[in-house]
Amino acid sequence: MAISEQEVRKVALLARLEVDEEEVRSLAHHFDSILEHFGKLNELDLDNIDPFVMDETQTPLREDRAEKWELREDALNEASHRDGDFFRVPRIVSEEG
Amino acid sequence: MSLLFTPVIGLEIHVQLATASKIFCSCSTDYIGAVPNTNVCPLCLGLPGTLPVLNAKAVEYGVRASLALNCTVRNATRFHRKNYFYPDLPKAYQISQYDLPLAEHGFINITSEDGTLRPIGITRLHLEEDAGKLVHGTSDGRLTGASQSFVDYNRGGVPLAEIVSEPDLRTPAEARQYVSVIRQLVRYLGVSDGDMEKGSLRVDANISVKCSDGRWGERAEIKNMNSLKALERALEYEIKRHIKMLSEGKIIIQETRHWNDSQGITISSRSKEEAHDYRYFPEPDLPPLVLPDGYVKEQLDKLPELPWDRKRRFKDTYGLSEQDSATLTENRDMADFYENCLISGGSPERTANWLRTEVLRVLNENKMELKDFPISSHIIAEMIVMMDNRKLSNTAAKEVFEHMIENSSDLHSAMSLCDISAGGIAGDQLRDLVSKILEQNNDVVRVIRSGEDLNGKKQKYLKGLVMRETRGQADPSEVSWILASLLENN
Repeated sequence: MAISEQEVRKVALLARLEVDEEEVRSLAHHFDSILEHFGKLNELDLDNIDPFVMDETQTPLREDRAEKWELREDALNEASHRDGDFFRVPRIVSEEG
Repeated sequence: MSLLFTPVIGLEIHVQLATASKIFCSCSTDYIGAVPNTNVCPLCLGLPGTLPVLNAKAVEYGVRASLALNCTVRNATRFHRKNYFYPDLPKAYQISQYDLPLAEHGFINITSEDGTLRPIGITRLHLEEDAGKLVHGTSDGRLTGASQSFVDYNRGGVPLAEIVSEPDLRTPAEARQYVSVIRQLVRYLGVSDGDMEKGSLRVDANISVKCSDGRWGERAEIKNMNSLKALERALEYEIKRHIKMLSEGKIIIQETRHWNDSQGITISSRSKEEAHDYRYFPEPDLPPLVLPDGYVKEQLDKLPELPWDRKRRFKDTYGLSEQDSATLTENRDMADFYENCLISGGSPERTANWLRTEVLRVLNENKMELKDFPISSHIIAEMIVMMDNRKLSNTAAKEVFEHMIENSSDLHSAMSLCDISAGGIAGDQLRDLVSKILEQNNDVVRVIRSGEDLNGKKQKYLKGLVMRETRGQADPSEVSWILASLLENN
């Protein structure tokens, strides 16, 4: 199953990664070999084997109690761009509303 | 042959759950009016090295809403990552549910225009986290010339229940009714404040139009409707748009459109990447959510009486009209207040009347919630009982009521300050008062006695004077009776 260069460009776009033409070709090749490697798993006959589930693992629950985190100043200061109480980002044309 | 068009509408409702803390961390959910980025922590800021821990209350509220929507609750469910890049989502994915939602296959009844109940299917209810808020423009509120956006993560991570309906709705009015039923329900259950304007209940609509010639247009997803009215208007606009396109033989494309309330139109939100590819995959940071044995049953037992059941009971048990039952059960606080008045002895009909007219009027005029109402149900009941026993007239009761509202005084001091006595004015006291009025209006009395008051107008005038003098504390029929007997005896 060969991965097309177009598929590589789409994955890159979704991941917001910039790739040049040479990288596209090389990544398509890498994707192919990774998929081929994992494709071997499909050769196994698993018809009579139950899915592997970690024993009794279930998500722990937390009591609904609000607590204040005291270091928000640090978080704002560590951001690439801070503007007063806000994190500043390049202007986004509203898409999600 | 003219073509017939049938709109097909399905709604997605996001309900913010009224927990104290966020869904996966302990930050407060109290973001309205809060200083930006104060209810945040490394987890909801998406910093590395953090792990989400599910809020038990969010699960409880989600299950409770699911059960009230007649859904089947899954005992084992899991979370997925929904991947997309947008600055209101610091992790670049939203933790949501995908193939195993918390609950599925429910329904809720709405009342059709002909008065019959119509079930609307609920496809699913799942839990997810809310996103942060973007402010476009400058941080001090100026919108012009800004090349930046500003992000406030206070809302990020607030728990949401997303309720997806089947495409069972046929008209904008039905859609509106469906949303108001859901809103009333979540408020009754106490799982959300359901406020559309504040954004704690948000509605997206999927709409398509089927044509009698067999064509079926693509669906449009409508967003940004911030009130029931806006929802109805947006759907009306969109149905007209689809019908026009189909009538002209045009192709409708599947797209997302935003409602612009001031212009009254929907606008296509052209985005470079309209075809979203969210690449859902199971959230590795959260093991499956497994509800303990008996959990669902326990939640079912804890459900309060639902609004429509309570409305029917008010009609059947207290003999109230359809309208009164609906008004008094519209919200749970009012229904509780009403029943507390009855427990304190108020008669069902008069109490209903008083709450519907006087109490609701004061609440509306002052934009007040019932929980902030200064008079207790016990006091209202005490007044009703006096009225029931003809010890207090409606007029006098209103005066006392106003006095209590304005001065937050108790019933008895309000009555004595208004100079109104509980027994009212009756018997000899009333007879003396009527005699005095007759003496003061000798000329009128003479006209009546001479038989010239043929239509009884003058006698009514005298009665009015007496009622005014007693400030409504006398029984009107007793006044008529005394007046008639004194006018006869010279």
